[in-house]
Amino acid sequence: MIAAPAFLANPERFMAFSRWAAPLFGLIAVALAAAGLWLGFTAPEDYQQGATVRIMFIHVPAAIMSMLVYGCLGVASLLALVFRHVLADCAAQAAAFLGTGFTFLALVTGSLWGRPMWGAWWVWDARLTSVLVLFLFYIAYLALRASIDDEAKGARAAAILALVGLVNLPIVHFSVYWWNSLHQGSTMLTPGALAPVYAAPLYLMLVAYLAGFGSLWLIRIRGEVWRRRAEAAALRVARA
Amino acid sequence: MVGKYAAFIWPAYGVTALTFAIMIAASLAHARRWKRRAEDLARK
Repeated sequence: MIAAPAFLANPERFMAFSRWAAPLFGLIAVALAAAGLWLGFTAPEDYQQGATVRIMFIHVPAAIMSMLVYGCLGVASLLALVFRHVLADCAAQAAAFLGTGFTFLALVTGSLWGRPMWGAWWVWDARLTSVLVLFLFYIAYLALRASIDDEAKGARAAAILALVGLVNLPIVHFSVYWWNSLHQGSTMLTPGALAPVYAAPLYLMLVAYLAGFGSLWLIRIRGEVWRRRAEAAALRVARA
Repeated sequence: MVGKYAAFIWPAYGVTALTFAIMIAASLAHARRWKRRAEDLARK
């Protein structure tokens, strides 16, 4: 478990690894998403929710990714703060951008599922509100980094904010158990809660989202490494 | 396939496709732009 991150902590090794891993993860994501969408749209309508069950195949993976990516952001921020590791800071910055996208998707697709099922686009329910808070943490992280001219100071302040936001993750997950909620409990963690005809496309889409995130995360980290190299080179040229 | 809920299902898939398209395009453009810039400066 420790060996892989330690191996990739070297920027040269990371760039060599990500060069082939990013397109490979991307291809896996496309193949799995195609299979998941095919199974999702050919699955029978649910006896209670009708065809809206098809929103589940894109909403649940987005919601899971919103929390998982924030976990990545938190771990990368901790490593960047403690070890002052440049790649960890690049990873945190890259994760924040993608996590904002996944959380936005969780909120919007959830709203589009909630309207026909609950009769409301939005309710100030514990789960929905805690996911909105998660979205605001992502936005605040990106805004804080962008608002401080000294990049090192901005990165440190944003990393501390990211660590504070980790407190929200268990609240998001357990909110449906701690408070009365319109939102259903965790279906994926309850054995037998989901019929195989729905479980298959859902798990395929979840792995597709995971692979897609893996690919985009590597691409964005590579971009950050190039940006810092370009800025260092520009400084050298200016001094020469 | 989507029946009377088409007005909710298609927008959900549309927003998902659009968001992924933006994340992919922005990530690739960011990486390519800075790679080109770093390589140009390295040659100077």
